[in-house]
Amino acid sequence: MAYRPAREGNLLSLYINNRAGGLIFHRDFSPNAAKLDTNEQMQLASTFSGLALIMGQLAPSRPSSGMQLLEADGFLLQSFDSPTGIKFFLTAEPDAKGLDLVLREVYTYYADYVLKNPFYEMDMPIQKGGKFCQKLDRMVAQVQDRR
Amino acid sequence: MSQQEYDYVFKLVLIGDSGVGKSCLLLRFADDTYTESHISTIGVDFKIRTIQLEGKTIKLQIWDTAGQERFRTITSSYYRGAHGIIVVYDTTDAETFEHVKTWLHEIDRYASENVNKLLVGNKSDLTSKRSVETEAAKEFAQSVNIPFLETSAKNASNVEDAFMCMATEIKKRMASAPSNEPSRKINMKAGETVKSGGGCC
Repeated sequence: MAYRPAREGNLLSLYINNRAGGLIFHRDFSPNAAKLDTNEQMQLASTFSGLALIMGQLAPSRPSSGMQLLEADGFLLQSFDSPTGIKFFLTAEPDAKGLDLVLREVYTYYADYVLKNPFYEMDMPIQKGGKFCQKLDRMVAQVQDRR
Repeated sequence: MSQQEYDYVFKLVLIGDSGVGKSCLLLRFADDTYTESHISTIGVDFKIRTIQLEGKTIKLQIWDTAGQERFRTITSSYYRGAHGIIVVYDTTDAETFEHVKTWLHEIDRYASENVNKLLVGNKSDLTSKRSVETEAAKEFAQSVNIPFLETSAKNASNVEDAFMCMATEIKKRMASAPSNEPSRKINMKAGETVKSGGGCC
């Protein structure tokens, strides 16, 4: 397994946005995660998509990828865009490491367990309780264990 | 940890000249969420309404530019993947009705071909100031084959019907849409990100 797990800070929440900037998956991994209801999660996730796009304009030479890492004293936000425009982003406690690798792992699960599901409708919410969720939870549990 | 589930998320986009009352219209419809929006300062505000349709829970996420159309960078992403677009004008301001054509042109340019559209004339209760006749608007809407209705602060029922009707249409369209329609084709080179406003669903 390629990812180097976070050693220090806990992972907090995972968001996945579709190509249109709509939230299709959210999961909290820690009691320290932001307490938001579903609608607030949708609002913030879509806002982040727009913001990441606008940030691209600050790039001195284009083209540049959008925002990938945001650091604050209270948390980290790591973002990863798939080539097809799906946005995966993760929040974590400030001293978490290797978040980009965790996201790549999530992307692999998405490709294997969401996209290969013949009943999945593109760009629509990913149902919880499926194989994707199981794999994700197991991986996150491993990461959190190695703190 | 939130366990609230939803089966579908539909993206609806609200456009029209500033001051026509787009946000007011939404206020009447989006019962779930309305917070004084700090979010509009960066270009887009979102309001969400949860509905039940044929046993499915659907989140209608309505994107409102809140008059921040100057952020042209996000214009195309704003339309991208929209399932439904609502064009609003002010019945007391003929100019905003004239501009409807421009807005429809924007839709043709940025949105996917089969997107559901709706024309709304707002502020119909201000009868003494009316400058766009209902008949004229109705005729125009028919000529471009878009459903039309007038709304005012007084009749919320029209708004409710309009949104529900649109959601039903979208769901119907999705259920029957072949997933390999040509507009969904994506051409990709290594290391490239998809930028086309290619139609989703």
